Amino acid sequence: MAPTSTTGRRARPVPGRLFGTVATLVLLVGLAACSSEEPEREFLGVRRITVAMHNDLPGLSYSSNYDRSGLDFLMFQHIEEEIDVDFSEPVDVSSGDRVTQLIQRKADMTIASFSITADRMDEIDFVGPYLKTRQGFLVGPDGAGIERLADLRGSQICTWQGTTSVEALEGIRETAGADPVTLTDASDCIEQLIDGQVKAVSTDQAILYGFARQYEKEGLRVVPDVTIGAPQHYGIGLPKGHTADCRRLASWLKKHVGTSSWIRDVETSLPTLIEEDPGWISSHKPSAAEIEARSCRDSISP
Amino acid sequence: MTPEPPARGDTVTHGDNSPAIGFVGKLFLSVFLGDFVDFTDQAKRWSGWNWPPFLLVVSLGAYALIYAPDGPARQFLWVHLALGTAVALALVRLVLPARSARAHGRVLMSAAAVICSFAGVVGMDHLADHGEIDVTGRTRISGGTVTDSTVTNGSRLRLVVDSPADRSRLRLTLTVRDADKAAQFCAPETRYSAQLLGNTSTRVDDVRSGQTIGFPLGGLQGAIDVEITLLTEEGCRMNLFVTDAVLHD
Repeated sequence: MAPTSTTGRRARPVPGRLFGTVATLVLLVGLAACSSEEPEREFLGVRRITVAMHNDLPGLSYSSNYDRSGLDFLMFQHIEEEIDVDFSEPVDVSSGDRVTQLIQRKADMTIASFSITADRMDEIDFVGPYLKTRQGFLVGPDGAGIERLADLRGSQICTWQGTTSVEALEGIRETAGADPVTLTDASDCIEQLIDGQVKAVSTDQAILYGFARQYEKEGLRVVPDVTIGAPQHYGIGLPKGHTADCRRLASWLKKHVGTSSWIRDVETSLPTLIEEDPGWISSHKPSAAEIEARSCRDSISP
Repeated sequence: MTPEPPARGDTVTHGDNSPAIGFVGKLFLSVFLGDFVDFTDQAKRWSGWNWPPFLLVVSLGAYALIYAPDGPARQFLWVHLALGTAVALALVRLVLPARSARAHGRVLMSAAAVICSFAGVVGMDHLADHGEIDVTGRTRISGGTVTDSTVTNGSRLRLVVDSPADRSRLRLTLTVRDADKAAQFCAPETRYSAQLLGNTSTRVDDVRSGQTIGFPLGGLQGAIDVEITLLTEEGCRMNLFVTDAVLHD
């Protein structure tokens, strides 16, 4: 009688089994990847960031025929490249609405020559400064002889609502015997200066140099070396409650202000400032320590 | 006739005044240690003998608290702890039923309570002589702008402590804040220098808001007078005030 085999099937060799297992795993992982969508990224708690900007400050944030320009806009473009989320087209904001828009989440970020102050830090977070400036004076053809603060005695000086310039200008009545006038926005003050209704416009020099360049033909100029008030530190405004994102942005900004890109942006946007103030880097460029001291702070205490 | 040997725990005295010495000794023990188990049968029955050590501890504690000097609360921590422990031990000794604890345990409890209360009194006495004296409320700053008490870059101020220099050192913490919160944020870069008036060797430079500095007061007569110079960015208006001023050894 012929012998009967005791084994039903022959076992597959080890390399064959290993190949089969790996192939199955690859197939499963591939299927899982196809079945689930990639999670969308968020920044400041949203998937699409809306940035609020000025549209009437030449050199800083200016909009003409839907074409934006200026240092703030360049800063926006750098942030757009750095943060890997979608950004909407920037929305316009007036100086007086900057804090409110962030609190009401009509904007997620504000880049609008936004001075960091102790009061504002109570309501919103800042990342900055990305530029330092001081409050100066813009005069027209009528003010050719104005070289000192005392030369403004008895004249009307214009600024606009919602800026820190209003507070600094309040003291000028005592210090220089001038009369401060507060109008609605920047264009109102510039119109009145060109028309000769006010002797000077006073706000941050970075803004004034932008106007001086745009209205060069009208004879507007910034009075050199005449400043009032405390230094202004421009920061990026954020709503409170996003500390990790705020810190990430602050960390990026500390690196950015140390690059040639930052210098190039200022040179491109504010050429008159560069011409008038050869030592502009030491007076306008913030240090990493200044950024650290003012960014993402919940308290102004030391 | 041979006298019977004394029972365990009994005291045997001899001589003319022997009973009196034994009585006084036991009374002393009873008053100061509260242990009268071996005193007399009468005393055992009268639980009022438990009270003297408790009252002694409470009296010492009250004395220490009444004569406590002024100063930061943290330095009194161990004194209060000792007094609290003493009262707690005395209280436990008072309410503890006589049969629930051994005589030695009760004696130790009473002794510990009395020692703790004495330690509290001695500690309080030490603090009165060498402890920290909080003089924050006795300081005044002069020299800022008269109208709104703001200071600017280069402002020189005088900080006077209206208190005799009862200790060898002064510890000082000043806070500098923005006076015009709506228009500036200059506090991070603001610094000040300080020195005891007329003593340049005590000068401390580059002090930040909230940073604590110290001055040696050795040999100083009269009021303590510190000169402060503010260093901030041009145009910044600041307020400066004393957060903490403490005299210590």
